[in-house]
Amino acid sequence: MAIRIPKIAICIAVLIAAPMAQAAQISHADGAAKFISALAERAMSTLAESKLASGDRRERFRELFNDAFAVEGIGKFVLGRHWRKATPAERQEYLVLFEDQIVGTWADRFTEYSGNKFEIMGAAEAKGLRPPVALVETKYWTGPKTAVRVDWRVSTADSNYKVTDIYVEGVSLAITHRSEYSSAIRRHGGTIEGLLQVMRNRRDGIILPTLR
Amino acid sequence: MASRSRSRAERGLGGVIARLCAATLLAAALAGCAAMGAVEEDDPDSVADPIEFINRPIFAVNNAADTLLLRPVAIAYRDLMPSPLKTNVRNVLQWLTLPLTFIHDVLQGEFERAEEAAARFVTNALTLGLGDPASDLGHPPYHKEDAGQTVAVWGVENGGPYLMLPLLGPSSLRDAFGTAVDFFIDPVGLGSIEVSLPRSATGAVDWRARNMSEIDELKYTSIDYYAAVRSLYRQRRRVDIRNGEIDVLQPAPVVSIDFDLLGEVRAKAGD
Repeated sequence: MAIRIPKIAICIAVLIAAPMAQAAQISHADGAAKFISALAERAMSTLAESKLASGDRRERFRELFNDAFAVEGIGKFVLGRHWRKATPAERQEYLVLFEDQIVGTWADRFTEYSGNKFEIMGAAEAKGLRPPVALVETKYWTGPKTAVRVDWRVSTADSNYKVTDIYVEGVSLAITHRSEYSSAIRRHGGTIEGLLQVMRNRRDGIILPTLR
Repeated sequence: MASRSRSRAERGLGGVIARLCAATLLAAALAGCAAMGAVEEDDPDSVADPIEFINRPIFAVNNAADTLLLRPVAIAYRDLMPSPLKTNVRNVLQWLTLPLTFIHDVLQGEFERAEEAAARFVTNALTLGLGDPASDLGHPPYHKEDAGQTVAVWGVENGGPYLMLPLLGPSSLRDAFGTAVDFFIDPVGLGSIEVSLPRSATGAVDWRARNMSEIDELKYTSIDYYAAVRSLYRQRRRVDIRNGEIDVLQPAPVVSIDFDLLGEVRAKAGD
């Protein structure tokens, strides 16, 4: 956005703002925006190399993913009420398979996207939510004139920033996955074991006809 | 905005009813309320899909039609049509939706957005819709409205049972009704199948081609493609009705602070 502000106005604004800036603390919204910006930079520098072997790329993505995302919280959310009914062993296996599934699906896709132009449009704290959350709005340019809106839901508790959800054009990935997993559980015996079997098959490369 | 204060009032009413429930009933009833609430909250998409046993077979037929017809045509379109021509096609398709969008913006009381739609229509009319000078001139971005959204804004926020329509794809009772109404009131066509059919077909090919890798990815790697499409559809409709605003109060994961299962598992595995 090119807005022409007279130089004198800028000087006055800076003079007035300077003492306030020293006293002001970074708001969580700003912190979250910086966090997403840093994440994007990190992704670009570690994942966009074209000479990376697929296995290396996945490992780098896994590291990034674990660092920046609330993996367990997301996994727990996606399983919904079945989490409560699951045994500790089932929960463990599920979380490992869940992370593998995300890494497997997203590592290559992320690489495709990480080279694109990425703009931070703004960030806002969600008023009154506990634990505290900020939404960071970004734009991914997929072409010279086309862009996709991506919003990042960032947990800001204790300034320990973690992504808890991603909204692509307003659609939540966590909610979409939860709906999928809930339906999959119901259709495979209504138990978590049914789901785990499906996830194991996929990890092992066994795609059953019904999944196509 | 009228629609937002209405839904806030409805949420307030829902809150009052919930509190009455908890305050006056015994533990057993409380558990009953909570259990029902858990299912609702956990899987609203399934609760809103009472005819899933009909929808799934129709979905399978639609997928077959996609695999056999739409996808191959979209691939040919993507690979053989020159890029500038594809842009022209997309521009025209969007431009032709603007009159109907204008009508619905007015019906929803969104007069600013109605102005935007009208201005975009007039500006791009100079190129017969083939170009998009409106965007280059800095107009607000393109938006699309339909009868289903209007009916939702008028108060029918619950779209009713999820419907998988043959060939037309995911819909709901409210939105299918809206699609039918739009067929007749769209100034471009006015119920003429000779206009609507080629328009819809071209639109489908253009959409499939533009989103080729994303749709393929979803189709071939989903753990439950039907449920994924249903969830995407319902979420998109809610966002469209809210004109792009994300409801930050919707369910979402939280950072779990009481355990580190993944860490334990990795430690045991010697990572």
